[in-house]
Amino acid sequence: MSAAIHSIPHCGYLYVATVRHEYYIAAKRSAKSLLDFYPEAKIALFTLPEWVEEEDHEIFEHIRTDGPNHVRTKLWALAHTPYYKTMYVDCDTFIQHEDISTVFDYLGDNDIIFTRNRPYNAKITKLNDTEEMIYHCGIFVYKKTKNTLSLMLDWYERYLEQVAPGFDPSPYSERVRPWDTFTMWYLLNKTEYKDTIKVGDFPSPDARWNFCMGQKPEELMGEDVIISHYTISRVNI
Amino acid sequence: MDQPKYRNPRWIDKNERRVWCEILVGQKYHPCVINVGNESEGLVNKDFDAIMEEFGPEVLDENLKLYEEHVDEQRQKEDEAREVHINRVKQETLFEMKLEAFESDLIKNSKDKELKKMIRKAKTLIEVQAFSTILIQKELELQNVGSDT
Repeated sequence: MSAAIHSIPHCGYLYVATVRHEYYIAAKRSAKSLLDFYPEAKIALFTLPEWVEEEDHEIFEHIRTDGPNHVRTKLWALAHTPYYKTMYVDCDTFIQHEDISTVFDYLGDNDIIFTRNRPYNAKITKLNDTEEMIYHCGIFVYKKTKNTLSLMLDWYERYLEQVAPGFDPSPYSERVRPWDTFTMWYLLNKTEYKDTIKVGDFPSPDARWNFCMGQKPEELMGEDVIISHYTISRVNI
Repeated sequence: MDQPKYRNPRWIDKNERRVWCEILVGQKYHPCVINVGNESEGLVNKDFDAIMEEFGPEVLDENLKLYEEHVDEQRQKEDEAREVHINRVKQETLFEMKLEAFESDLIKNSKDKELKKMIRKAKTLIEVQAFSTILIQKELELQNVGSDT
């Protein structure tokens, strides 16, 4: 590990909330639940300057407000993480177990680890008979290396291209265009990153690390949920 | 090219010679059930006879098998969608109740980390309600002690 890497905080959690104020409220709520179970957690928030309140500095040790105000500010923020190991957490989540503090142990020698999509509970996963977007991009842990930062920057840039008028997703369906999951799938499967980024899974049962509303309780295999994942538009926040 | 008069015929009841098919009327296909009755009754139906001549009973057997597989597949999908919906409603209700609990000033501002964690971890509505009640009661007692001294 280089000296430069030693000088940055080792592990932390990253929230992003721009575009809609509900996202900011939700991010704070999730971060507070995280602190209830892991009071020493280091948490970063990327948001809009006009939303930041005084109490936020007690929740987040790092607040950044100079990013783009975009539906996928998340992708920009990932490359600007202040941590060597980052857990990105969607704002529409709720932490409910002490095991949240152990998440960084599972990265191992992977560059990034994901939980899996559940086709029965996802809008789109299957691209065709042989290709499927298996990874959920709402919760993941990654290491800050030159290559992963490059992947994150490319994730943002390619996403912008993907949603721009005139982008042709063929041979894949037009339906994939709004999904950043597709962008990540493309980068990890169709570009040089397929050979240079080591991708892993959360430990089994991964459902407890990203338990999305609608998911089958038996997927928890009797274990407690660590992160609940809801949908802001469906829940009154 | 002329369109075929019958499409996708399958048995509804082979013994009673009941057949479902799509039949061409004018320029449009319509779903149609042909009832002939048991062969022993000796009745005839020209559509049935035409289908038998054009397709033969084996094709109707095969189409019935495909249809039943399709129905099973659809039923499985519907069952799964129903299960997802029920799980989602239950989980969202529990989640909303936890959010509401944390809207209460007594809970939100409480320093009792353990009970707050129990509310967050609660797996049923009853648990959320019970732990919230205990915490509120404790907070009220603390307030009373504070006001007595």
